[in-house]
Amino acid sequence: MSLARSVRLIWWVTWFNVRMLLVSEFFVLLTFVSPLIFATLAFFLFRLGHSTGGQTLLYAALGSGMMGVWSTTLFGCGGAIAWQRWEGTLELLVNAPTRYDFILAGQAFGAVIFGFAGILMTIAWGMLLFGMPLTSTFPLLLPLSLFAAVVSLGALGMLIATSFVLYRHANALSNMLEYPIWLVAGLLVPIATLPAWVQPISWLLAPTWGMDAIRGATLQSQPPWFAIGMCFALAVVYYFLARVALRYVLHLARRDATLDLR
Amino acid sequence: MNAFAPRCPTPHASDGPLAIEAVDLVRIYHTHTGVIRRRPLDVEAVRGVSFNVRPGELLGPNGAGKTTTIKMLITLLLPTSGSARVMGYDVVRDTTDVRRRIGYVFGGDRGLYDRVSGLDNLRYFAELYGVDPAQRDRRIAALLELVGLTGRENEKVEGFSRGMRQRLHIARGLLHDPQVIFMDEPSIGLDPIGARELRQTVKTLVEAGKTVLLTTHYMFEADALCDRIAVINDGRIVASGTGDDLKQAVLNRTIVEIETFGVAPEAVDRLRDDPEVIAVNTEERDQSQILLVQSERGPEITQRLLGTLGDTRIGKVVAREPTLEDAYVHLIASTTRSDGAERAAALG
Amino acid sequence: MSAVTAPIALPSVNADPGSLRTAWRVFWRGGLMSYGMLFNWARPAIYIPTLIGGPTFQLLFFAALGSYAAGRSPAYFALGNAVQVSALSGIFGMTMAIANERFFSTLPAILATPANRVALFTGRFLPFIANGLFVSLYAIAFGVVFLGVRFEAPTLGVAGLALLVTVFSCTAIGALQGAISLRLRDGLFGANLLMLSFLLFSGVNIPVATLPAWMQVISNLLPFTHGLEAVRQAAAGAGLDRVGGLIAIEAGIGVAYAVAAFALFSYLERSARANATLDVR
Repeated sequence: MSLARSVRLIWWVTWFNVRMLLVSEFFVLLTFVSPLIFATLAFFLFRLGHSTGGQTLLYAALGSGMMGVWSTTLFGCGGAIAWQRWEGTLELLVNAPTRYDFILAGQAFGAVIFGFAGILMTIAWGMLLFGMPLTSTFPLLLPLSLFAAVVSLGALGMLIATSFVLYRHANALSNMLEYPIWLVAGLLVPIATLPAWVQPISWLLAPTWGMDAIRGATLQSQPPWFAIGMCFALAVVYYFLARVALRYVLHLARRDATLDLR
Repeated sequence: MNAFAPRCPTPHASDGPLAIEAVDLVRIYHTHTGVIRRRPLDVEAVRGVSFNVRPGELLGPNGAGKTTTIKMLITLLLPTSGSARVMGYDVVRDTTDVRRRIGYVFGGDRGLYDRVSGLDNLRYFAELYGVDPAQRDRRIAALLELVGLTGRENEKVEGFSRGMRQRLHIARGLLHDPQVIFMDEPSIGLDPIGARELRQTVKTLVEAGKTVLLTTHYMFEADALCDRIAVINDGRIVASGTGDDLKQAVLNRTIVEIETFGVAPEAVDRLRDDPEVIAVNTEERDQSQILLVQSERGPEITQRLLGTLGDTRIGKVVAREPTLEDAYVHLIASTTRSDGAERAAALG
Repeated sequence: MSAVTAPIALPSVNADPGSLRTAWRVFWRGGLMSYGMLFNWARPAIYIPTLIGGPTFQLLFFAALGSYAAGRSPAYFALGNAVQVSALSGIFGMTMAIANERFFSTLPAILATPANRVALFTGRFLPFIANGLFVSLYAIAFGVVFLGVRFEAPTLGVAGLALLVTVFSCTAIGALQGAISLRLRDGLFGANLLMLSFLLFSGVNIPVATLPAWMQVISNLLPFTHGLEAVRQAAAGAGLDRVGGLIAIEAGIGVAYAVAAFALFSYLERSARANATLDVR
């Protein structure tokens, strides 16, 4: 398949998934309401600690928005294959003439892009209710940072989708993995304050570098080239791992005739 | 005050309060048609159903509106108008009194707790029905044996086949030894042996003095089991009586079954045009069509019928007595036709 | 499967659904039995990540965030969240139970029985209260071991009582949420919204007194707020004389929600009978 066609296909599947998520009450809550509540929580907590500057507010808004991105990616991708299995469409999709990982990519990126809308909400929230000023130290780099974060998270989403399906109760895993990643990726609490042994785990996570890249372009004094680079590098690793996992899953499915597991 | 039927070895109508009494039951469903412009639509599922069932009887309504009627009688649905009493208790006002005296078997895949065992399901409902805990397990064991689930009761219901679920439904309906039992197509999903055992169970229940209201599509089952049969079509009772009563309508007829291969519609019409042919119904099989010709003449009409069919390829030809099934078909056809004629006349 | 033999004699039984004893059995035994039937998270493979793993990480997150952002001791946040996680059982459990009844179409089957409705309804609370207590106790233990949560020994009983009442109260709002979800299709939305609201409004992470006035109104209407404050005070050594009032208010709130939930259920049952939304199959 030509590159142009592949891109068009992924694009189409992505927007299809965004539309699906838009009509799900659960995801609307997850992506739009939940980050607002956490943003409010963060604002109040910082105020209790007497940090009320614009920088702090922006930090909190970005962090809580990113928390929403992670949740959406996690739930959107973690249950993706299981959901297809439940609906009975997995078999159809796998045997479709297009490559299945394109469909998977579309699902992952759909979730991620949808999740990023949550950041817009938290920023608007901060501006409207807490008087947060909108500033950016490297505004020209911001689109690149966002793009890097999306790519990295999307690839991680693909890995989540292909590996969670191996666990019978993927939703239970998703339930468990919101808080720890929020913590370890340093979205609201700086990684430096965490125990030393946690930090290598942070470095392996897309949210860590995605957040770093975005914060770098908005709040920090140094351009976030390293973070952006790490985003892309991790994306490649995730994608590779995702394909390995996918091959394994499909092999298992064909061997055990469990594609149509209900 | 309770209405009781004396335990009698053979079922017969007894004096005393009626077990089930329905008076002009009407049920209208309010729904909508269309997706873009939703227009309200009133569906008259039950349009004035009245019948009485004495204790110890078995009644088998068939056709459209039966499930709705039963739901009204087991207090799950409020009649739009009309009234009904079970064992003397009003189904709208005295719901608790009605519920403790009735059991129902609706069957189907749902209505059971999949995640626990059949035994747990029965125990749970036994609690809800207030069955005496000291007698509970013995009753459950006997019921399990009755429905043929002994040995499987500790398996989770989610692994049950359709037939096993049906059996469990039956056991559940009898947990609290109800006086009146409603069964909606209970033999569906059962294999022939299971269905036969069910019919035996029903017979036993009636002999013990229970009242059973049973709906079925199997005419032979209704004929074999039921003291009285009511036929519901289109929300109304179109006939009721014993099996023989219903067959009266078609008693003097002969049914000639003609197996044809590729019969032309014009040939069938020619048959219908014959003055001594009352009706012709067609049943499609894979390769053939079975023509069911009703006539008041005896088997001698067969010759003429075959002649009318001309060079249509003919297979088997049987001339026989009418069955309850033929009576049912006749009833449905005649009442639907007259309804249609009424509607057509109303529309002018 | 037995061959067609002589009919089997069924031993007769007495059934007295209206008696108090039966109502008690429906409440107690029936209630406990409904746990296995209706709780999606009963399997260890689901239970451990969702009810042990998740709460553990929640405590760690808020302890870290709270102490970093607000400069307070992690123990404050740990205790607050340790009590809040009981809502996982109380709210999700009840919502799930009701959704499952609808999924299995067992609701009509139950409603067709003469069982006492109050006993049936309140019995459903029991397993989820027990489960919620268990989850909270685990989380509190975690907080004690790792995050500096401390309980004064003399008032341990008072704290336990406050916790119990809080869990009951939150299960009651879970029941109301579940009843509402019978009409709307998605119960998860309301359940998740409630969980998040507790985090913000009920003094779990932010002292209620520091919230804007309009938010405090919501705080006082929600379960948790008073009960959690009672737990905090009792943990610090306050006796029943000091926190009794708070516990009583929490209990009252719980009862109010329970009554509202029951009223809604009764209404829905009547309306379902009138409008034929109780499908037997």
